[in-house]
This record gives sequence, structure tokens and C-alpha cells, in this order.
Amino acid sequence: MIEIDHIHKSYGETKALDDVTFDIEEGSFMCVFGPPGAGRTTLLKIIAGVERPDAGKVFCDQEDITEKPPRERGVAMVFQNFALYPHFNVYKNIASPLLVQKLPKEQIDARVRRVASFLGIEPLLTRGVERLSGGERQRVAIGRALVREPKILLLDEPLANLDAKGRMSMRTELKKIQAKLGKHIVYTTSDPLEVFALADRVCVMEKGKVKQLGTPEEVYKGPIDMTTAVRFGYPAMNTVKCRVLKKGDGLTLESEDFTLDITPLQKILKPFLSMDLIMGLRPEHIKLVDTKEKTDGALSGKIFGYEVLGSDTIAYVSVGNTLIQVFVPFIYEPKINADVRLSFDLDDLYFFDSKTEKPIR
Amino acid sequence: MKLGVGFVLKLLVKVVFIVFFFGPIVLCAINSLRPHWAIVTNSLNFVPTIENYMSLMATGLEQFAFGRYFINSAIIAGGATVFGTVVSLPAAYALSRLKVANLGVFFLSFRFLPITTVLLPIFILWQFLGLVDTYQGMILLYMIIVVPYTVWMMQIYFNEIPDEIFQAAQIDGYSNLEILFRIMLPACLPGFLVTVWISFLFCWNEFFLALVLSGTSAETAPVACSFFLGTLGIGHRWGELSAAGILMSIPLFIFIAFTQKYFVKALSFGLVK
Amino acid sequence: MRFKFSRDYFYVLPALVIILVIGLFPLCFSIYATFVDYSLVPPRPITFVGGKNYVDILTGPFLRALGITVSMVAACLALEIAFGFIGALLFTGTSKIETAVRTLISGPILLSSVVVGMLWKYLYFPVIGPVTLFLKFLGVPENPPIDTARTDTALISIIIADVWQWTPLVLLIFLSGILAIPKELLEAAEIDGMPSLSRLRYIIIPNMGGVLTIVLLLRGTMLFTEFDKIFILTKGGPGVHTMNIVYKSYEASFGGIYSISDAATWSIFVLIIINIFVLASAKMLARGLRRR
Repeated sequence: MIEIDHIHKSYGETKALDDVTFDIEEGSFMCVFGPPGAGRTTLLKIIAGVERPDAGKVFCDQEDITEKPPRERGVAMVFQNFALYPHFNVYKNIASPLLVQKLPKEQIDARVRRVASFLGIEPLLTRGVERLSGGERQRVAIGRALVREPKILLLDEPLANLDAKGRMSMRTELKKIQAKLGKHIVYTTSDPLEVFALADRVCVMEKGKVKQLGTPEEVYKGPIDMTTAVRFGYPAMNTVKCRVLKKGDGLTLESEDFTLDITPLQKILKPFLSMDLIMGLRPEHIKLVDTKEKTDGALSGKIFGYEVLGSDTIAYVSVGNTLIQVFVPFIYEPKINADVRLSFDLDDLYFFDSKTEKPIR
Repeated sequence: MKLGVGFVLKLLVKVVFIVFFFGPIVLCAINSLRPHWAIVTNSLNFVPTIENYMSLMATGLEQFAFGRYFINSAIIAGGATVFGTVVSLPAAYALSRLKVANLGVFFLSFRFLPITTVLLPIFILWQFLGLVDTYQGMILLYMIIVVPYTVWMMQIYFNEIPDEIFQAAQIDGYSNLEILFRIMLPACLPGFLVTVWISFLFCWNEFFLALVLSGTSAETAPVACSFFLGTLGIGHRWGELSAAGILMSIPLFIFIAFTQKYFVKALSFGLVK
Repeated sequence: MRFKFSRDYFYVLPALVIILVIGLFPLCFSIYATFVDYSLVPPRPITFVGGKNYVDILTGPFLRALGITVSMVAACLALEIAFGFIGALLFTGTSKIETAVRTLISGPILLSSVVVGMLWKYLYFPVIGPVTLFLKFLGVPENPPIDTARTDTALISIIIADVWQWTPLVLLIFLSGILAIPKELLEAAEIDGMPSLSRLRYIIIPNMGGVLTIVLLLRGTMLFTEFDKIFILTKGGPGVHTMNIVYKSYEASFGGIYSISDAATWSIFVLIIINIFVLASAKMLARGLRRR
């Protein structure tokens, strides 16, 4: 188990890591999620040992490794820009950590070839690094990390420098080899889809601080604040300013462009009458239905635009002046300005305090 | 291709350039193959001969014995370059990647140090140590040329290598020296080779220091050349002079064969940063 | 700046030691020598004289030597920059032939200054020197037209030799500056119909600031310490007509006077002048760049 204990790190004026504390259990896949500048790379480098924290400690299996040089930590790292040795060919790049240990040649050869075939890059072994594509280089970098069967495997946004196609295929690859990757895995990303696909646990970071720890489900359903809720979803969650008002026996939600009867949520929202709130609704929770159907939570609007992505579509629906994104799981090419009806489950709504951005439920 | 006035003018100027800069070198080469009488009478009616070179090649204590000087130059320039570079590489590595104070500027300031300021004190010191007119003395002396330049240049080249490669090497488990020689140096090999060649060039062509600090045993080629000008009561030996000049330039022509692009970059680089 | 002593310092140690022993220590000794009277001929004990050496030289031969130094540096820089820039504009091509031609004209850079000196001594030589013959052909009356031993042409002979030796380097540096200008800038101007002279004036020249600094610093410092060619071509003569400050330092040591304190004082002057020059050039160009 890896324990990160109150780590602080500053670069000049900027505080990159501010009292970061969490654990990584053996055999688990931990994702560090956050926007650029959150301190993810710095955190990885401190775990790897190529940077030292200003304060705090790192423990691995009860042992304090904060002051240990990288090579004594049993750690391997895959860098965002691959960091392959330019003057080594693919074989030597992958074999590099083994060459340092001066293992017998046959052993090195066997391990390199095993890893290479596992990653599907065996035919590239004799090539120089410059002539590889982004995806190929990424595999070589992963190969170099895997070949030493490390105790701790660190991956810093490994898919960020790949094109959309490369990213999708690598995501599936990583899932396949997840089990074989090592004892502790720490993976940084700003893409929530990767977190869902790969992680057992996620650590949400922003501006050097840990905001939330939990399983991907937990963060998805119960985000610690609105920013996290919006970021942790693709496409980003829709947010609408609103107020909850009494109407007769029930409750309505009133926003600039529409009203919604939310009487079933009375019990939860009653204490927040007349307060300024922000309602959140994830695009994937909305269904486009026939304009004639009457459903529980429903809004009427017009198609403003749409974007076909592979086999899904993101539809932009304007409800008055508010633009709502809807995730449609098939190819959908509607007429612009056509009338549509958005249907969703009231239980899927999120509510946040307008000032603090903290969730109400 | 327009054959306007502009084009002809440009062509003319280009020809002038070529004749002016390359002509004398050609002349030198020709003269090295001209017998003495032909040069002195400015006659073009001669059979190319290698007698000038032969006369130079005597390595005994006869008049010219240029061969000996040539060897001296090779040993001294080569030695200073090798030892100077060996000493400079770890320093450049440390300044670039390790946690040492920023001495880079300190090293650079000595690049602009005029040789005259250290000449005399070193002469006195060398006399005291018995190093005047010795190979060791000259090699040690020339290191003050090689080291500041090499440390500064290599530090720049090392800085250009992305941090992550250095960090990946640390994670892979290489020791500092292994990183220096197996990762960093190969990654900037062209720049390194040019730096070495330029160091060698400076030492090989150096005259002033050698004049003062070498006597009869460790004399270098440039100093020997100055002997061809009328001393020894022989009158100017243009033929031998030209041959000597050509011989002295051989290592440099080899260098030109490699690269022109890297050369300028290396010489002027230190100042851009 | 706190010094955390780590094993890492051992890497810098050898290089540092060399610099201290062969660079810093002699420098300090030189400075010390300027404040004493230290002469080898006739050998006499070292006595402290304060600033006498400086005063003696400043009120004596200094101005003359300074004048010679400055005129040589200024003339060489001006000519090398002018010809180097023109040459860079002419020889811009990247084809194999153009590269080969550039290699040919770069020859002079690689020669030892001594070889260059010898070469030009031959070229200037009366009766048989090609330059002599060429100039006589053009009708120049004197005989020989450029005499390294005549007061009015001695300095010129050195300047020409230096221009020959180093213009190719200046050319290559300017060339790298020109090639660094994004091609699209020039292409766009050409398409817009801008004549080449205007392109030169408004696009190329304003971008030459950086390389100009390099040229000034590099060549400037080399020129202030020029010795070899003077030694070969004129030996400082006729009289003291081509003795720059560095040569004076040589003269004061092994050139006949054998006074270490005099030589040291001259060399300190060189050091001071070079520092002034470097600072002035850097400042001037920084200001020029800032104004943009």
C-alpha cells in the first residue's frame, strides 16, 4: 500500500501541492483526476522520486521512501510526452531498465520480447524512435515501464498526446492489461471517460488540493461541489440557475426560461424555498421524446444544433435562452428548429447552492 | 531566370566574393607545389613539384623540420582538447542537472578573458614548476581555452534535452555518470562533436601563447611558421611557407567536410543565451 | 544562496580547479603586478609603486595605442559587417551548389592567424605579390602599393587581412539570422508586390538585431585582442604605428622591455576595455530591442 502523507510542494511562488493526503491500496487502480495545473504531474513525480516534497512523506508498504532515490523505489513511470531515448531503438528503449541491472542477455531478450508481443509492437523492435507514430511511441513507453514488473506504476496522462482514434484503442488496451500492470497503479487524467473505464478509485484534485476521494460511482452520484460535478461527466453537465417556489400544494422550480413541477421532491427541497439554487442535469440522463407524450420531468424546446461523434450524437436544445446538451446514443440528425421534448427522471437532478456551489443532495 | 541588370550585378558580386575569399587559398595550394625559383621570379612556367613538402618533412634538427612541429601541435592540441573535454563534461552535467550553485556565468566570464592577462603570471609559475617548453606545460595551459568554452557549450546542449528524458533515466536506475555518458551525451552528439572540434581548432591555431611559452622542444606549428619569414638569414621561403600553411590546414579541411551548419550555431550559440 | 554540500560538487571540482589555477590565480597575480615595479631586465627587487604604472602608461603611449586599437576594431567590424551582410543576402540558397560555394568561401575561417598573416605577406610582397601586381595593374603608383612597412598602409594591410579571414564567419552568422525569419513573412510580402529593396528594409533588417549582437560580441572581443597578424605582418611597425594595446603588452614582456608590471598593466587595460565594450554593446542592443 502506498500512503501519501501531507505532501506540500511549491515552485517559487506557485503552490503545486497543498497538504495532499490519500492512500493507494495494493492491487487497485487509482485515478488522479483534475484539470491541468491541479498538481497531478507533480504528485506523480514525487511518488517516483524525481522530485522531493517540501514537506510531508511518502510510504510504501509501511516504509518511508520519501528520501529514497528513484531506482530504489521499484517504480516505473510513463510520461505524458513519452520521454523515449532518442538515440536508442525500440528494443533498447524497452530493455533500458534491465540493461542497467546488468541482467544476463537471454533473460533481457526474453522479457523484452514478451512485453513487446503483449503490446503488439514486436515488429517494431529494431526501428528507431523518430519514425514511430504517437500510438506506437506510447506503447514503447508503456513497454519500458512494464518490462521491469514494477511495484508502483505511474502513468501521467498517457493518452493525452494521441488522436481520438488512438485514445479509444489504447483505452481498450489498457483495460485488457489492467490486471497485469503491476501492484499499485496511479493514473492521471482530465478525461472522465478514462476514469470510468479504468479506475477502482478516483482522487479529485484542483489547484494542488485533494477535493474528493472515492469510487467513480461515488463521485459521479455525489460530487463534492458543482465544478467537480460538471467536470466529471462527458459531455459536461447542464447547469441552470433557478429557484424553488411553492405552488398550491406542491413545489415548482422556476428558472428564467421554464418552470418545472417538482412536487415529488418536496421532502428534500422544502427547506430551500425561495433560495437561489443551481440545478444540474447530466446530458446522458435526458431522453428526446415525442412532443405529444406527457412525462414526469419534461421540458419543451427547439433543436439548436447537433454534433455527431462516432455512433453517438450530442444534441443542443434551446429552451428559451437556455441551451441544454442532450446525449443521444445513436446517430441523430434532426432539422434545426424542430420542436422536441426533453424527458428525464426527477431523481437524476442535482441541486447546488448558488453561492457555495455545494450540493444540496 | 531573368537576365536583367540586377541578376548580372549580383552574379558579378558573387564572383568577386568567390575570387577574393577562395582565390588566395588556391594560390597557396599552387605555391606549395611551386619550386622556389619560380615563385621568386613570378614565373608560371614550372613543373609542379613536392620539393617544398619534402624539405619540410625532415624531422631532424635541420632548418625546418616542420614534421616535428606538426607532431608537437598534434600532441598539444589533441591533449588539451581531450583532457579539457574530459574535465568539462562532468562539470557541464552538474551545472545542468544536479543541485549545484549556478556557476555557469562564472565559467563563461573566462571565455572572454584576454590571454595576455594570464600569460605572464603563468610564465613565471611555469618557470617555477619547470613546465616551460614542455608538453605538459602547454597542454595544461591550453586547457584554460578549452574548459570555459566546453563547459558553457555543453551546459547549453544538456539543458536542451527535455527534463523527462533525464527523469526517465533516473527512474530506470542509471547512475549519474551512466546518465551523462549513455544518455545525455549521445542525445546531443552533433553539438558535442562540433564543440570538440572547435576546441581543437582554437588550440591548433593558437600562436601567441605558444610563442611565449614554448621553446625548442614543444614548439607548435604556428610558431614554426613564423620562422619562415626571413629569420635564419635565409630570406622568405614562400614555397615552404605555403606548404606549411596547407599542411596546417589539413585537419580543418576535414572538419569542413562534416558540417557548416553546426559550426556557426556552436560558435555563436553561447552568446544567444 | 545556501551551499548544501553534496557529492554532486565533485563533478564540478576538476574544471573549477583548472580555471582557478590557470585563470583566476594568474589574473589576480596580474592585478597585483600592476601595483608594483617588477622588472626582469635589469633584475631588481620588487617594489611597491601604487598607481604609478597606470599613470605612466596613461599619460604616455596609451592614447596612441588606444587610437590604433579602436581604429582597427572599428574598421574591421564595419567592413566585416557590411560585406558579411551583403554576402549573406547573396548566398542564401540551399541547393547543393550553393552550399558547396559557401563552403569554399568559408575557408579563411579555419586557418591559423599565422597562416593568414603569411599568406597576405606574400600577397603584398613587392614585385611578386599578386595583390601588388593587381593594384599596379589598376594603376596605383606606389611601389609596392600596400607596404607593410610604410606608415600609411601598414594598418590597412592588417585590416584587409582580417577582413579576409573573418568576413565568412560574419556571413554565416548573418545567414543563420536571415534563415530564422519565417519564410511566410517574406513570401507574403512578395505576393503583395513589395519590391525586394523594401523587403530588405522592412522585414529583413529589423530582424537582424539578435545576430548583430552576436557578431559584435564575438568579433569585437576577438579584435580587441588581435595579436598574431600584427606580429607576422608588421611586428607593430613601422615604429609603433600598428601597436595595439595587446601588442604593447607583448612588447613590454618578451618584445624587448621585459617588465612584467608594464605588461600586466597593459593587459589589465585590455581587460577593462573589453568589459566596457561588452557591456556597452549588450546595453545598446537591449535598448534597441526593447523599443520594438
